[in-house]
Amino acid sequence: MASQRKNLKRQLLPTLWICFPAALILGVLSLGDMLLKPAFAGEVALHDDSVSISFDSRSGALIRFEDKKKKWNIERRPELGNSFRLFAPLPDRRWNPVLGPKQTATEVKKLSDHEIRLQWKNLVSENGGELPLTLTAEVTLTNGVLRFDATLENDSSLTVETIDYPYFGDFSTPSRECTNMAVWAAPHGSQDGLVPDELYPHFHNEKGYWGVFWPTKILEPDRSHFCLIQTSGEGVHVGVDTASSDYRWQYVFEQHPALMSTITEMVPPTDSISGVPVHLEFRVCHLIFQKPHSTMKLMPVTVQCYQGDQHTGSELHKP
Amino acid sequence: MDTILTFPPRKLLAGCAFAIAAMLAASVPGNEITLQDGKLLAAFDTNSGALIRLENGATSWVADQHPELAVPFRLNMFSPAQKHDFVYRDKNHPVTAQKVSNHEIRLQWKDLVDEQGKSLPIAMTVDVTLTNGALMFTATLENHSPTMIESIDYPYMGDFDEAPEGTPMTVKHLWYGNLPSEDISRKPGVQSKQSLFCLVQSTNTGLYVEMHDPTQPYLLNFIFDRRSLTKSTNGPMRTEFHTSHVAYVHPDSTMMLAPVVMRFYRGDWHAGVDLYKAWRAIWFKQPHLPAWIQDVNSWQQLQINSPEQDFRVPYTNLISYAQQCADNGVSAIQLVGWNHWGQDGADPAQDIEPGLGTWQQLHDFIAQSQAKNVKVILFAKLNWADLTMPWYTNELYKYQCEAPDGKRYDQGGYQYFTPTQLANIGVHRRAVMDFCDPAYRDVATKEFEKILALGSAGWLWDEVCHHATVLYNFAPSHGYNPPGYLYGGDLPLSEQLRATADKVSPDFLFSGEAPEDWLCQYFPGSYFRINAGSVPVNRYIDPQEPLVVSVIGFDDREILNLILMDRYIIEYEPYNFKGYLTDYPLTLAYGKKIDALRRKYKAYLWDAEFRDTLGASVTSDGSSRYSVFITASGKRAVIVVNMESSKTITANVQLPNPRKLIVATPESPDATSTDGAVKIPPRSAAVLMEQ
Repeated sequence: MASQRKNLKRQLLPTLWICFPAALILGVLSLGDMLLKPAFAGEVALHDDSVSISFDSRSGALIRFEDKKKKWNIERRPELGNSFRLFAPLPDRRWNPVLGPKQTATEVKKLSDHEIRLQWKNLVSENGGELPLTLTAEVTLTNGVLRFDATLENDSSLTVETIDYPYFGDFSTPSRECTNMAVWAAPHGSQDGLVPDELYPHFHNEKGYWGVFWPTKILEPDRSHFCLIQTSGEGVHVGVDTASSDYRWQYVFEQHPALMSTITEMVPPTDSISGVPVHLEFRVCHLIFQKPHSTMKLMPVTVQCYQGDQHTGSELHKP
Repeated sequence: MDTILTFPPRKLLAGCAFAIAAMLAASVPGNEITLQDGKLLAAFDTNSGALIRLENGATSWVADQHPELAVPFRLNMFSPAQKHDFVYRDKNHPVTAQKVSNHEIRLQWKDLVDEQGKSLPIAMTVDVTLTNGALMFTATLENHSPTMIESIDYPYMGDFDEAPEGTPMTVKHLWYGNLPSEDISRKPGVQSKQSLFCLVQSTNTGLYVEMHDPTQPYLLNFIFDRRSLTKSTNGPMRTEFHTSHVAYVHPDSTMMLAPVVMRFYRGDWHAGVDLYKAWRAIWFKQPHLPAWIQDVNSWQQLQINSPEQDFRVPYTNLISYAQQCADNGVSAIQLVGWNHWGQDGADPAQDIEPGLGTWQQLHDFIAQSQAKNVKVILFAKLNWADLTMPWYTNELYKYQCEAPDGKRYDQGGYQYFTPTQLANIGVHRRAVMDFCDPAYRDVATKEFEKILALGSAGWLWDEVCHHATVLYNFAPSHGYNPPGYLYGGDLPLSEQLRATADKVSPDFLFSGEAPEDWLCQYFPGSYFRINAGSVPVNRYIDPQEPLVVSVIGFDDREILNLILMDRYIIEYEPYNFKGYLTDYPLTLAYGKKIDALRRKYKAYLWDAEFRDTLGASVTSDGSSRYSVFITASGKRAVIVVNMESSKTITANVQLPNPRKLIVATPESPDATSTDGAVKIPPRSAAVLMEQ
């Protein structure tokens, strides 16, 4: 894999030199752009009979996630792994993201057989330099249920408007031959009337093309308090523990780098197209609007694999 | 003016239903007077003046067939007390009906009575003429009352249910480079701001209805309304059709309404659009086109900044994009977000964005790019005023459109990139500027002069095709007696901008986002997006109009084939118009092959007349589409597209009295002879040409 990356880098470097500004912004937004990432140092993993999950020990990126029972490599390619993203607008410029893959984790530590703590400090933003922000995340695995807790300490003078966490950089179908993967949601939190929205092999962009780089779907909480990413006979339940909910969140899907055709809306059925990785990003976006000099605990996110159809998945939801 | 209110549509419909039912029960049909030629018969009731029958002379279609359901007309009044009154022709005040000649009838109603029984000093006179199958209704309204007349529903067909042979009917109209179609049972609404005509289309025949005034004097609604859900004697189930003139006839004034024309035709939508084309040929002023846009060409769209201040491509880096265009034979860059606060920020200001560089740097880039034969088309919008900008607070509010209650109309703005904006937070919302206001037209012209000063080869006015939800401005002090119809301001402003550009260069290209056909007199370049079901009606209307279509997918052969088929101009938009041409080499390579084929067979594929599917038939053993072109010398070309994703098809092309045929494809451009049967690989196209 490392040599592949090296070759890819050699192929793309001349283009990048010419295309630097666009590549920069695409790189800024596309957390799958391997060229901007540090090499992997090692993995810190949790696993039980149901799932296994791994984090890069240097960046803290989520680089592997597998449904062991069905042998479904959900987060398949480590080089497309991601950790988080947040936005902290500057007084004179709104565009100021902080990109997880560009940060070095200060701690990636396995606290026990079922718990990992990750921490990033003094985050480097794209246009505002280093910021006194500390993100501490705890990932626990209990009986096949992954739980992502996080706390953000904002000692800066900026408002942190949003944070994306957890962040799957390569949410994969069981295979490229998969004929149906969809996100199912229950409008108004109801467990009845689950509605599918296809993710693969077709993907319909649902945001204005002028304001996104990639085909994008955003599930709002008023559509569903949980979502199911369902394929044939298996799925992943993603929920937000809303008991302490005091802000809005979203489930976000981005299909990189594009569709084959806007007529067919087909996702390229290969791992790459024209030398660019084909991958689906999935993340939970927290719209926190966290004030300067404050600490905020994010709503926990749970992730659980299941066998069965969407009705099986919806039964995992516990309001 | 401040007494006028917009009547809620639901209440309006409810009020209508009641009033019509009452009238139908009381109406007593009288004698008929008719106009008739070999193509159409129209009969009017001499008691009420209502149109009671409309027959297609060429078929058995009777579009309006139950006299007892007839309605002469309807007015919608504003009273000073801000209450709405409907006025129907009252049975106690009969019409004066006079057959002026074999092809003309005059109808006159005087001293109308409203639904409360109050007499109103209002008279309506209608001349109905029939000329070669074209039935024209020209109404004049004399309003001697102290009340504004908001709208006049005329002509009015009370029973539009019966299609020939009982077949379903759809309603079609021009909009956004397409011919949207909706079943008549779904109560479609067509508005003259989008299309000057609508087609009521049945299987092989139709009714063409036209607003016979291309100057946008006011809004005309083409309304199809379903009445009664169950059959009964007093209110049978039926569809009403009328055109509603939202004319705002002031107190103590006389207004001649825009004539309405109805014609039957035989055939599909092409035959209906042919009637429009014949009328259009009379009034449409062909705009000047620079030479480069008349030749085979392609564009790239590139966005470099947004209201989220991403400052993605500094002016000094733009030349690398232009170089790629030059290297790949792409003729123009549609540059988006170059202006202050990026795309959809700070409108209508057309100043440069300091975060991207200096005015000189942008000016120099444009000159350098155009020296490489890559034209720069600057994207801009003049419709809106960004509410977050001091300019709005200090000045532009004076020109904003307001509702009858004095409240500002808003446009919601657009979302960009950040989760915050994508959640519709912090979006730059806008006031809607009044194009009827001469003072605002001068403001817009000054901003437009800033575009001209940069030296680009043209501009593209995004959203030139609409004014958000706003139809009329009711604010006073805008230099006219309100209300002002916004779409009526489009042509004067366009004319003013064109005159300003002509002082710099007649070759300065005006293009816009899907301008309405009447606006294409000033905006010949039209940019839009298509899908598999899009109908190439604009291409059918004007075979040479520069119609630019976006291509986004990373291997977008499907849309490129449709672009070839419908003679659209390719606009490359990798990463939703935020990347380099070379970001999607598969799409670029196939697009280049298509343009090379068009250059090689330019007489057939570029300079020829587009006939859509007329003049040839194509059968195939899979999903396919085709189009027909006729060259100046009468030779024909047929483009067949295989729409299958994985199956090679065999297509058989049949032309009446064919000459010898040859076939070429984007990937095999050297033509070979064919008998009309061709194998076409999936996602591919073939061009058959007469020798």
